[in-house]
Amino acid sequence: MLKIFPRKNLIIDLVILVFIAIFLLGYFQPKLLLMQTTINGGDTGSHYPCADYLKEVLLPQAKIMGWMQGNYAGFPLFYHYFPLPFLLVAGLGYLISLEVSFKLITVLGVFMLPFCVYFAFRFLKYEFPIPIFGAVFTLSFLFNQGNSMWGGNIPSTLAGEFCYSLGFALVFLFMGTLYRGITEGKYLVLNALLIFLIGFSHAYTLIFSLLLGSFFVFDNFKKNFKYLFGVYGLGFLFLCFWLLPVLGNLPYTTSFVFRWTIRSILEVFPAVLIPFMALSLFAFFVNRKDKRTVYFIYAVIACIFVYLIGPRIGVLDIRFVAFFQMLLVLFGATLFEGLMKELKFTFLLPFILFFVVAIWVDVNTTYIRGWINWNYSGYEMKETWNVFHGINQYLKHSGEGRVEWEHTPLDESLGSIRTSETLPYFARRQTLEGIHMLGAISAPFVFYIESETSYQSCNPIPDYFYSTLDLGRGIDHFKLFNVSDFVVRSPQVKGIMKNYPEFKLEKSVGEYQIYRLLTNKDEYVTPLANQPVLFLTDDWRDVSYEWFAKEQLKDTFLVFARQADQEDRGIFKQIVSDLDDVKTVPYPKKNLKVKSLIRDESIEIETSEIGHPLLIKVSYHPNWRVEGADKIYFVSPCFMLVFPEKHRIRLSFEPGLPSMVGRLLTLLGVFLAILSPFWLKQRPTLPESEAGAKKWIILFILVVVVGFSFFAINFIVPDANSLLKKGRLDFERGNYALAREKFADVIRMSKKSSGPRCEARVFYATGFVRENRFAEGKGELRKFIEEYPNSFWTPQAYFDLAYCEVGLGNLKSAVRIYQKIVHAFPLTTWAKYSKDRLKDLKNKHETL
Amino acid sequence: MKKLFLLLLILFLGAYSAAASYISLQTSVTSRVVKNTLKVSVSAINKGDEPAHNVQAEIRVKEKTIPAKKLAQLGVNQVYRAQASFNLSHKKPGEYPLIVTMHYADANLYPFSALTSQTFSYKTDALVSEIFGSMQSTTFWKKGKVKLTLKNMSRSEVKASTYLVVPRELTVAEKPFELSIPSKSARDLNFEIENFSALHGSSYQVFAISEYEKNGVYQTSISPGTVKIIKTREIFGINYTVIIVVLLLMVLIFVAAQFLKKK
Repeated sequence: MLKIFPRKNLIIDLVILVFIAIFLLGYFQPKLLLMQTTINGGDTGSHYPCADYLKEVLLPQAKIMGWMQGNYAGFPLFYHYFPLPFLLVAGLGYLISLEVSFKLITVLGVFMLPFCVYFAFRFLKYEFPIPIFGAVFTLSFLFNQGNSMWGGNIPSTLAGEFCYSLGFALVFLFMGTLYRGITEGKYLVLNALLIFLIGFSHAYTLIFSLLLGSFFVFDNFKKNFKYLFGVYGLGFLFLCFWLLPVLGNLPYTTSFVFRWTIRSILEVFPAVLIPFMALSLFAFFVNRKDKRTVYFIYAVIACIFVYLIGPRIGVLDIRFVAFFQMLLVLFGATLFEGLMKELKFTFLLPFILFFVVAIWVDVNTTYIRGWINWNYSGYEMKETWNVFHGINQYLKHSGEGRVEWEHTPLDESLGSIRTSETLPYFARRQTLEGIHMLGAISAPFVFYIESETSYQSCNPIPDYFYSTLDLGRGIDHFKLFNVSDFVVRSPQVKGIMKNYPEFKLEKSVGEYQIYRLLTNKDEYVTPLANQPVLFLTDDWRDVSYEWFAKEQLKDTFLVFARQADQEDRGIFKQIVSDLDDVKTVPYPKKNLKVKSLIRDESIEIETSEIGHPLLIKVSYHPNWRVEGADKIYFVSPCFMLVFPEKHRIRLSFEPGLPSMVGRLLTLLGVFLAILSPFWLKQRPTLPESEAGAKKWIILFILVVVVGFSFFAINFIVPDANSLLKKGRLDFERGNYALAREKFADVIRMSKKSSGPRCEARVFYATGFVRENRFAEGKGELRKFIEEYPNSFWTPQAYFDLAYCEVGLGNLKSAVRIYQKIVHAFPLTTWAKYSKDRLKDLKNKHETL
Repeated sequence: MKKLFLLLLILFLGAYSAAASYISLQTSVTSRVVKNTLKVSVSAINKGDEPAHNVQAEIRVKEKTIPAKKLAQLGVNQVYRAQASFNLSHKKPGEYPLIVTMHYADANLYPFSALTSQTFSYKTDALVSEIFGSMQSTTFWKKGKVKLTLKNMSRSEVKASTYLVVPRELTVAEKPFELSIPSKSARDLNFEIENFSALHGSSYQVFAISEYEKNGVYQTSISPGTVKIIKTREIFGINYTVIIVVLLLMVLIFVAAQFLKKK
């Protein structure tokens, strides 16, 4: 590969690569990277306990996947997230401190990107100085401050997406090695290894690697199929030991897919990238006959395609915009290829370009340096460390139950708004929220509890509706999740705590107050008071969420199954498929004694009565195995239930069948790779072809497909979220009838637990109110309140209902409703409005 | 083809930087004197796009400072209000200075402060100062100077004490200047300011306050000025100026080389 480059050019490239690294180090200062403090900021700090758990618990057992009790009432770690960066952290953590190791690995993707791009261009056979130009151009992408969520750039990395950044760098290297490999019939094992590393770093970068491969399918299916099959097949085999358990775990994850709202075209084409993108446009015309141009353009269009269909196929669309931007930035470097032959002293150009780009990037960078300093100085260097440390020290010894921490933006001063997620590391206590919400079956319930107990909850999963602040219901759910300590920060929640005598203020640290829930017994395993009900359903989430939000059924637990077998019919007295049919049947009162011990990956239980069902307040997963009971039942909301057959019961988290099969397949892959010299035939190098008409036809077809996808997604089959947005727009414009049609569609197509459905339902009713159709509005609002008695939208529904009553002349009823809002939802703006309305009504009608 | 290089340069010059979240407190101060008591009301509205934290007014009259109530969080477009009362024991009637410092912090609890200053009338109607001051804005990173020009518009000499009031992020070196300004003439003063903890990109209002007595009446003249804190840009620890010079040299050599004939 290096032969085509004269030594002088190699030295220049090397110098510029060193310059790039030094430029990056000017931002990521070594003294911060090497400071032995725990990284904070965005999501980053919350990843740290997982790395610590991998190093201290899983790796000593020769495991990279396992069960972590620390967050979400337990969740399977690395069954829905990417272990490579964490393995690197843990591995390096045996040589240096884990804190420093973690910091170094979080910046690995950022530092690797210019190098990977440089080698990608070399593999693509671009001549000097194009590869080093490409490397320099990556700086503009890395320092793009336009977003911190799309991935790949420094702000996204600082926000916690360092796994994506690593995969992002590797996939651009793969872009070059695949092209070279397929045209010259080599690098098959290398490419398969890259597929493994990319997939092991992030799923979205793996998807992009598949898109790159699809180019060669279209290019020459007959010629390229075997090679592609070899690369992707071998890469898949390498990944199997991890990927098969991940795929097997999918039914137990939480979906997080929605269409990202891009507010301005400048978000996609930010000023800092525009010059490079403009160069790409010129490069396209200048190099249009080059096959590699088609490769780039194909990848760009493929990104648009996946972006458009993303939410429909279960992927987050916005993550593909990062690839789109990067490709458009990089391709600009190829413009110079034709020029080089005409110019002298070209060795100066990399230096000139580097300094131009470095200055350009530097003057366009505002907040990145501050954010880096904030993150890499670590929790321990914050002014508030004494407060956070004090809380942790108290919690370490305050009890055995879980800790819930009120969600508030004020926590940002501790190091991150997600600081509480690090409690399993700093306080050695289990907490509810955590970083891996998509990998946790309990996430929707945890965030529902958060919405009940926080003044400013984050309500992060749009597929679910949330509660308004309701500490009374929150207490019930605290007990269900065995929460014994509640950390409160906002003045609003602190202000209402005195109304709940079940909470006792145990400790104040700075502005934080720690309350003990006196009525929680700190028990992870409890005997059921009422007979469990077998609930037959194909959609347990929807049913369980409705059950969870309804107060009436709180002590009658549902065991979920698709169908009931003979054994089930013998065990369960009630078998239903509708929540309205559930009846509460208590067990006779007994003096049951149950003791439990929760370990990292096992649960020990001792019960006084065989046969009486025990609720285990730990998230369900099929990999849990039981001794001393027949089986583990999946019970509402997302926990485990056993009917003891012995006095001692033991549950353990085991690898499971997919893991066993996966390991065998990975061994097969390694075996095949080792033997590759025997079965892999080298193909003769083919001359580089120009892009012929066929390639342009491919691109034309792709453009048509993209256009059709756009049309289909937006006009033929819109999803609930898009429809809701359109409905809200019609509503704001006063087109209530039109809005109602859309809201009705959202209600029809969504599940009961759906957030969009709840919102559509309330606005469907409010539309009548706005049209002064009070009787219809009242009817719809009553239905809404009955269905969603505690939702975020419920105070608004009550307020509109009161307005309807005024409109209908039922003033006394209106007063009662306003009073109810003031009493039941005192911290909402609707309570303030209600007070005003009550004053108005009392002024106008003195008899009220 | 070479025209493409020109295009490249033009494109690089055309862009601008992205904006970040910010806090902007618009403060208004009202005061009135009732007998010997000065009553001050401060209101501040957050016109930025992120909440301000630990918002607190600090009100100063002569050597006495009263910290007002602290508000944990001031949301966007929300208003902070505070009151304070001072017992005045001034010997002479006239116009006296009142200084209000708004303290606040961003989401990371990084502290900021903003100044505002005005005069209040004590045992007299509002007076117009015979000294008029003009202060030049200045930009620096670590150290800088602000120049104040004071003009005496009266028909007699004025002996004034002039000092600079700065927010706590800045430090002013000089003690108050005691100076006399002849009738119908002007005097220049330079104040040296150091950056103590101000962040790059921030702007601060500073006030030069000149106090003097004339005909048994106390007079105050307040001259506002702006200080901008701009970090000296460096790459590899080398100032931009040096890099740009080197860059231009390389470009010149490169361009010149294109006109060299091959041997």
